[in-house]
Amino acid sequence: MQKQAFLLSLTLHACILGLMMINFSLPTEKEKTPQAVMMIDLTKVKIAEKTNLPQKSIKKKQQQTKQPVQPKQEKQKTTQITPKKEIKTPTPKPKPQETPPPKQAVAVQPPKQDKKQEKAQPKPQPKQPEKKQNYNLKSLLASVEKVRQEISPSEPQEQPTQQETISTSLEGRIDKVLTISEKDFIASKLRECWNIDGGAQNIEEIIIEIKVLLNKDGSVREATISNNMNLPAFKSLAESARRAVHICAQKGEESPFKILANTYAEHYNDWKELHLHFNPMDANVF
Amino acid sequence: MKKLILLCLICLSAHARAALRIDIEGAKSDPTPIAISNFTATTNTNLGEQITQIITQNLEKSNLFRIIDKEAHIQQMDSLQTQPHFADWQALNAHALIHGEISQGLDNKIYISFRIWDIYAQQQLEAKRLSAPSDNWRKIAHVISDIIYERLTGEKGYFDTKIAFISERGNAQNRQRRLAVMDQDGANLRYLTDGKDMAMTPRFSPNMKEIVYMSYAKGKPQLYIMNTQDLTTKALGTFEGMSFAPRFSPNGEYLVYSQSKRGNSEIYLYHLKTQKRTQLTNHHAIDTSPSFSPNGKQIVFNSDRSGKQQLYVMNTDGTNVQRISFGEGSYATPVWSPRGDYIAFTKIKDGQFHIGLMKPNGSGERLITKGWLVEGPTWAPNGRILAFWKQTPMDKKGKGQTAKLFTIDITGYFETELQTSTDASDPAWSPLLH
Repeated sequence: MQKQAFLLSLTLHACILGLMMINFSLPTEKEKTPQAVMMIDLTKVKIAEKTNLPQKSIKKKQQQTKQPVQPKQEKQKTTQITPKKEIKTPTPKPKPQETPPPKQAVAVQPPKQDKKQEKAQPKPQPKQPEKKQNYNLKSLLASVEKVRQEISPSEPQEQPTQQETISTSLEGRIDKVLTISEKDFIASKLRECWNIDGGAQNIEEIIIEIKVLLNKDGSVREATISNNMNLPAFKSLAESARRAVHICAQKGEESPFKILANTYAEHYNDWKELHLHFNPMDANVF
Repeated sequence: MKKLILLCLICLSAHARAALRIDIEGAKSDPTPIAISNFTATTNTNLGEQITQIITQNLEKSNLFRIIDKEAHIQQMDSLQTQPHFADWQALNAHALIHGEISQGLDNKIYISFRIWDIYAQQQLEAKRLSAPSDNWRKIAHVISDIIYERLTGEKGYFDTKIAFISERGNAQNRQRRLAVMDQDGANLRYLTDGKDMAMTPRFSPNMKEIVYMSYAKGKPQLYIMNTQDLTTKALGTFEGMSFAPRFSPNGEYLVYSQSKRGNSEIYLYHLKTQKRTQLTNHHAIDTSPSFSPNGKQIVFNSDRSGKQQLYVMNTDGTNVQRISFGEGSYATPVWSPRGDYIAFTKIKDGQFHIGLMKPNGSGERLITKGWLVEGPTWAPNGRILAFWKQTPMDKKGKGQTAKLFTIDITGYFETELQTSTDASDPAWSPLLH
């Protein structure tokens, strides 16, 4: 009896495994016909040497150091083969030029060393240390033991690049029209507006989602925190991210959202709602 | 049928237009600019200014905030009911605004109400009303500072706390060491011993009613417990050899300390009520400087059982001893953060002293300050700030040796001297008093 039950069980399991190995198609599913290959003749396509950025961005990028970003190159390749507007988009090689804003290009370590020298003489007055702008929070964790510093003088230029990689959803028409450098521009402006407490508890685990509703002129109608995390510092960090949206929006023509209103006015329905994904720092910073 | 409808919905949603998503990674980390309007007082206008000044000094000292100069304020917040003109405060780039008012009750109490505004989101973040005896206005200013700090950073404050330390006077040959206590901003200094017998390593009990410390009152290092209200003192017990490096458990029921007999130092657990002693370590090496984890389940200590002074963690019954430090140099005076995420320690390497941090598993070691002699880290109750003491060497003429207290942020920045009227060493930070 037991043997029969065992054999029956074995048979049924074999059937299930066999079914799993076979591809099913639902009766309602249409048969997929193979798509014809679309040939694109690149020999006639003219690709500019540089991205067609606004003047300010061009000046900033001239001050940046060049670093290759391997993972991003793949994405760029996929987005470059698109409508004629892509003619002006950069080849993978110029990508390194697009990365950190000029303030981040400043070497992280020297300012820290200067600060350490200042701290050697105790100063009771609560004045701010002269800190050059950088967004690499890993480097904000000072260490007096220079030989053990995880970020060597050559490394800081890599870290900001990794931290500031911009990834966007490929869904929606606006994403296919917006250039990589324009998305970089928006993200870098928001980063400049975002100020946080770098030593907050569990900061490496915190991700903040902000939903932004924009008016046709690029002004912010509403910015709301759309996620929640059960961590002590989440609320204050999320409020700082929301504040960053408002601070950027107050900059008038300098607002990152203006680029959408000025350049893509006809695509308003595609950009009237933004989902901003704020990440204070990379994982394993500590 | 339901499955078919669900399948259709999934297919339709796949073709729906998604919102534009942008990822922002990294941020600035500058002090947040905030505005603090003078708290208006219905009777004693000086009190409003004094309380505002304490709050301003506390928040500025934390180095997480930059207080916008009052001279730059466009709008005057004359009453608690005044609605901020957000555009005026945005013009100053104030991220937050604090204002309040003070009234005096017939019961000799003061009542303080205040609001915290998010200027760019244009909404109120907090509104509170507190009361305190009118002569305790400093404490209420510290409590308000803690509330503001916590609301804007998400972390507990540390302003309504005290620091116990050893006040030092005299030259090296005739050095007087007295137990002293002050507010974290240096106010309300009290001396708890007369300096006749050397006192060292004071530690607050979790309920602040007692301080345990080591003294040479009987000619050799022994532990004493002092009542912080009436200053009555009693010896912990008469132990063979020397006893030192005491610390309370998080629940206040135990003390953990080191006892040295015949050249060997072991760690003991002492139950305050029953006076029962339990030996936790039993090794020919020197085991000392124990410190409880905030959940009371583990103890970190230093030992030279590996040949050099390193850090170890064990259960509170002495089992499961694990080494957590493996770096060069010698590790000492470990102390577990109240947040549980770090262990601070003193490290001696290449002839220099350092204060460092590591995770409880030993990873992520960082040295955040160094000097000729820096040691004895103690945590603020929010686990964000450390205090330690620093000694400068004597010059060739035998002068110039000083010992001072300092604070530093866990990020390694904002090292600031804690002003004391005398030389000072061995700081111990109290829990939050409210």
